[in-house]
Amino acid sequence: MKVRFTAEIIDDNGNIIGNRVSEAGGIPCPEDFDLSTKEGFLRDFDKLEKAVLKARNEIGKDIVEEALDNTSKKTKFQI
Amino acid sequence: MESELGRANAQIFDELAWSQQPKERIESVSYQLLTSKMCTNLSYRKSAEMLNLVLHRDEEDSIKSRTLSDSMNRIGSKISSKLKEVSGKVLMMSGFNKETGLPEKEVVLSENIQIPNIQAKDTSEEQYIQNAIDNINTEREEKIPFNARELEIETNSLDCVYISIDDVGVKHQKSSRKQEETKDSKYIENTVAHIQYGEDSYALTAIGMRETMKLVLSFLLFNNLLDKELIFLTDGAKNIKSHIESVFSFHPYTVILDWFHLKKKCQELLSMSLKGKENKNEVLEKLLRILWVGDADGAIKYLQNLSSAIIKNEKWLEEQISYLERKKEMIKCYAVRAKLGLRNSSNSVEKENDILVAQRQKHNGMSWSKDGSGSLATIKMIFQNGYEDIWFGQEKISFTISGGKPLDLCA
Repeated sequence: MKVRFTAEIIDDNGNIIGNRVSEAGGIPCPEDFDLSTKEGFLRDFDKLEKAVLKARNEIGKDIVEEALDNTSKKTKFQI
Repeated sequence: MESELGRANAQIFDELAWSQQPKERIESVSYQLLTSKMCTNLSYRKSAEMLNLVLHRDEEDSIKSRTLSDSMNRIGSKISSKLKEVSGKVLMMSGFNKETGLPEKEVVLSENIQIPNIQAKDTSEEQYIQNAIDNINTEREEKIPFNARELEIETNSLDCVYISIDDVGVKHQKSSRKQEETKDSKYIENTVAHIQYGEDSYALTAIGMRETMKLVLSFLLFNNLLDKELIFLTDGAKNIKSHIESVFSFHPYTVILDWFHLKKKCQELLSMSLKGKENKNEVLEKLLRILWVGDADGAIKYLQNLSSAIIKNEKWLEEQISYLERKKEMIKCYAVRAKLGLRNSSNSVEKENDILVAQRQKHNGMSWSKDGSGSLATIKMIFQNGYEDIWFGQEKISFTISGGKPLDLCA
């Protein structure tokens, strides 16, 4: 199983001016998620948490870069 | 559920639910690793501040310092229990009593535990040591009073395990202010041991000298290091020596008095015994030069023959002489050891003391409960030995000197 993050930059008129997607896998399926013991639960939750953190950090970095890229294009045009 | 991602609600059942205390939150592996790393380096208040800042926790979800402290106590005592369990099993498997650390009555210990498997020095090795002695003797007025055969010294450091042990006391927090209760001791003594074999090392810590000695013994047993020569480096404290004598009576060993502590003690005692700064410095220099070549008898004779004109207090001079007499067996030929590149110092355990206990728990006005102090030192030990991923991921102890596979003796 995997987790997917989608981020969009939307201008004041509602137009999407940038979007990015990030994914991370290796998450146990709900039916395989170990809920019987604490050790098992922590092990599976660790996989989920690490995947979410990885995808979150990636999307955060990417969308910030996208936003900055748009800003610099606009600044160049104005000059 | 506490995690790096935030505080999330989760429905849990059966064994997983029963394993929790009321209101206790399950902490994810990453969260435990992060908070432990933070709390073993910073105060609980600063750790909470930093974590709330880094994890963007607002008022409602904020991490409280008291919760962190409880959590560290829980993790620390879990590590200690696991370590005790593992150590107890190793001791029992080898014929030792897990409570006392002594061989069980009517148990015959195997030979490879009792006798080091070391070749006797051959003539070339003896010649190598004799050359070092001769070199030193030609350079110095104070001669080494032994020849190569008489000198107890290792020629190959891979035939030896160096064990440095020391106590570090932190202020004890008063458990109660009531007058009628018995007084708590002023300090909590964390005992730290540093075990070195070749390039590898391992740190162990526990509250109390006996507990640490048992851990050291089980560690040596588990890593098959009792077929080596055991060399203990200490500051000369009586309780360390008596515990070594008691626990390691079945195996030959050498105890070396750390040069720095010997020098410091001589400085302190002589400054109270002699008149005038110049006299003190002159006598101290000569005394240390005699001790550097391991001539404890010569040093005692030198002090006994000092002119009465320079003696300020006979009592302290006698104390100095009796100190040297008491420690005579632990005073080795430091000059030859230094020449051959062998260890003369217990500085490695002083460093471990600093890392595991002092940096976090001393000189900051804080006082500690026994559990609180021991827990932080134990968690720091996991980081220091480099198996934090194994502990936080699998709750297993890695009991091997080279950071090998984790140990699961419960299986």
